[in-house]
Amino acid sequence: MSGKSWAVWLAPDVEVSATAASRMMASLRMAQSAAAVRGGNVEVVLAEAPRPDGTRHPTRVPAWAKECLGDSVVSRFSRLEHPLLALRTPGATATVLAAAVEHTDGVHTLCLGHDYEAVDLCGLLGRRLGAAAITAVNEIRGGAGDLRVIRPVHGGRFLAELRVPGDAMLVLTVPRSVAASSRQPAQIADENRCEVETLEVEASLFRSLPDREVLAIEESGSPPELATAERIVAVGRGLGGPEHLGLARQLATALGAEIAGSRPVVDSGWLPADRQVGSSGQTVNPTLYVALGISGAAQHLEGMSGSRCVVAINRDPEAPIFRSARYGIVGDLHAVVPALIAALVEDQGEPT
Amino acid sequence: MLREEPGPLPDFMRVCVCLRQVPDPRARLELRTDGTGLREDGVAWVTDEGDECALEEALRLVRQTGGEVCALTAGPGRAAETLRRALALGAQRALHLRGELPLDPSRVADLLAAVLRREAWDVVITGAQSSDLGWGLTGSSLAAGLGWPHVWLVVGIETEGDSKDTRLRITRELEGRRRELSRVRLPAVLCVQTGLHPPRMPRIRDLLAAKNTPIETLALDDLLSDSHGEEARPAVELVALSAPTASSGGEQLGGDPATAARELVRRLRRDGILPETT
Ligand SMILES: Cc1cc2nc3c(=O)[nH]c(=O)nc-3n(C[C@H](O)[C@H](O)[C@H](O)COP(=O)(O)OP(=O)(O)OC[C@H]3O[C@@H](n4cnc5c(N)ncnc54)[C@H](O)[C@@H]3O)c2cc1C
Ligand SMILES: Nc1ncnc2c1ncn2[C@@H]1O[C@H](COP(=O)(O)O)[C@@H](O)[C@H]1O
Repeated sequence: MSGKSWAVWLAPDVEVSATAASRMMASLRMAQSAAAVRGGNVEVVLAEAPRPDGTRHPTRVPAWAKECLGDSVVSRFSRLEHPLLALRTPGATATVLAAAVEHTDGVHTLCLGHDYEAVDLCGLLGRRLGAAAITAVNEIRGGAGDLRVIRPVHGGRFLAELRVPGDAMLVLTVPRSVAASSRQPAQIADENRCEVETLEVEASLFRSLPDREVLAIEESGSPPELATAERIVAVGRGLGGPEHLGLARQLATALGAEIAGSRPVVDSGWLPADRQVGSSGQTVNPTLYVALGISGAAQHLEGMSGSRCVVAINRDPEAPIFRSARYGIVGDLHAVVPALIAALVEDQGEPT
Repeated sequence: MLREEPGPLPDFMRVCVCLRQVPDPRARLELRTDGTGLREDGVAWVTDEGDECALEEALRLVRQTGGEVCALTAGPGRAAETLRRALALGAQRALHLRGELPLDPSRVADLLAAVLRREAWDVVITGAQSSDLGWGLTGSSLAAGLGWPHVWLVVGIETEGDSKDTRLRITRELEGRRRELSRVRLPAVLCVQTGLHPPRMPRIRDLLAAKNTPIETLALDDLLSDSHGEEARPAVELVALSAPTASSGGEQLGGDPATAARELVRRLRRDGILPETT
């Protein structure tokens, strides 16, 4: 099969963070996989609103995007510019992207970096294009006359292998872990040559999907206190209740660590919101991250995968957190944590 | 049904909340030996926790504006339990779309939309992301199918006090601890995030009473034929479930807690993660 496999990069309205860049790389890796499986060329489409002063973006590859491209071979780099993209609503963005696909011959796969914006518009885009929309895709493979798509289910405990018809158009969101686990070095060339163009499409508000009216974006009031922490003890729902926080705090004191938690712990009011780690909380990069009773859902990992050493204590030997941990102890945290505190104190070699 | 001209918020809000029954995420789940799915014997089925939050918001909204909450689930016979619980918690009506559920979220959305199209609603509330399949797509796909707007990851719902508007003010969570404030015209689908309000617990008395409340049941197979546009989209089907391959380099420290703890401290010092003792 020939055709085009697109990595769609939605330009953020602020600067391109390292996280955003790794999502773009992940979408490019998946677009390459899709082209390897389904045939055709890999193209990058950078979608953005016109500049605030109304002037057009130049027809070239921006510096940050060159870094995301690395030495990947792509046959075309398109700048898709449309005023509707300034609305940053899923209906408007899906309308523009759908128009771009319809304007181009033979697009069989669209890969977007997996973030809230992509998930929010993925289903709309799938519907608009008559495509199968699939979120959090790790891998795409060929099958006999059909395609296989792999994604995590049950909070990362299992992987589901899904079948879609071989001729289906696919709209995929791709988590950034895919950029790290790339198996595409064979495609690398030392020169980064591609055709660069500006993609003009007709898309009107009238044709756009119904949307909300965005009034404002608010930044969080509290400073990201955990961002600079060297050591973190993070508690999850496995702690059992706020009455056990004392135990976690003792461990934090013994380690000289900050205390943090997963989302359910914050949702239940055991810890304040500024202690939440994850995609809707803070991103942390400590030397040591001790996860107590945390299962290791993707949204939690999103916030702490930059930790140098992760220690997981969980009573379920199959908890996904163990796959991200350098050291794991399977057991009841209520038994293991006191033992760990004792080991730390004893090890201090307190003179008698 | 789509109100083109803004008018006052209805004083009787018709709210439908979509609830999914899922295997209890806190329980141990096992795979069938042929790898085609979960072993269903021994699975405890519960209402998705996120959907309990959705129901809580539906009940609160209606308490504020006046109106009625209807609970809707698509799934086999056992899913009626989820509806009973919703009735016990305060939903006035329950709709069961009964049958084997497809995996594909866009098909599930088609089915739910086909049921919703039979009546007029002001607001449909869903969870943000199911705990079993975790697509995060059913709510938005449902909205697209109905031609309504949706808001995903809702963390605040306010009726617009004085303005005479069929709109709600919605706060939505973004990444990087940011929030988006928007106004949405009704009817709309709100996909709520967890943590707005703690979901209420049913009382035994109400659970018993709910056993006598009739549940309106529709056969899922009958609706498959009514659902719009479905044949136009390629189907996504499950081939196999597997456990991810073993950890990439992680080390399990065994033995009793004291031994494991000592080994851990020793390794952390050796690796330079904790300072060496003097
Ligand atoms: C859009 C979106 C954004 C999200 N953002 C975030 C986020 O920023 N941060 C976040 O954390 N989550 C986030 N989540 C939620 C996420 O999907 C998970 O639900 C959450 O991370 C699970 O938290 P947990 O691990 O504490 O709880 P659970 O998944 O319930 O895990 C509890 C763990 O504790 C273990 N356990 C139980 N008892 C014991 C014991 N006695 N001793 C040892 N172990 C025990 C269990 O084996 C289990 O693994 C988000 C979800 C969505 C949809
Ligand atoms: N079978 C179902 N019956 C009713 N509602 C559902 C069903 N499946 C999904 N939903 C709703 O859609 C939301 C998102 O699910 P998902 O797209 O699977 O992440 C859930 O939180 C439910 O509110």
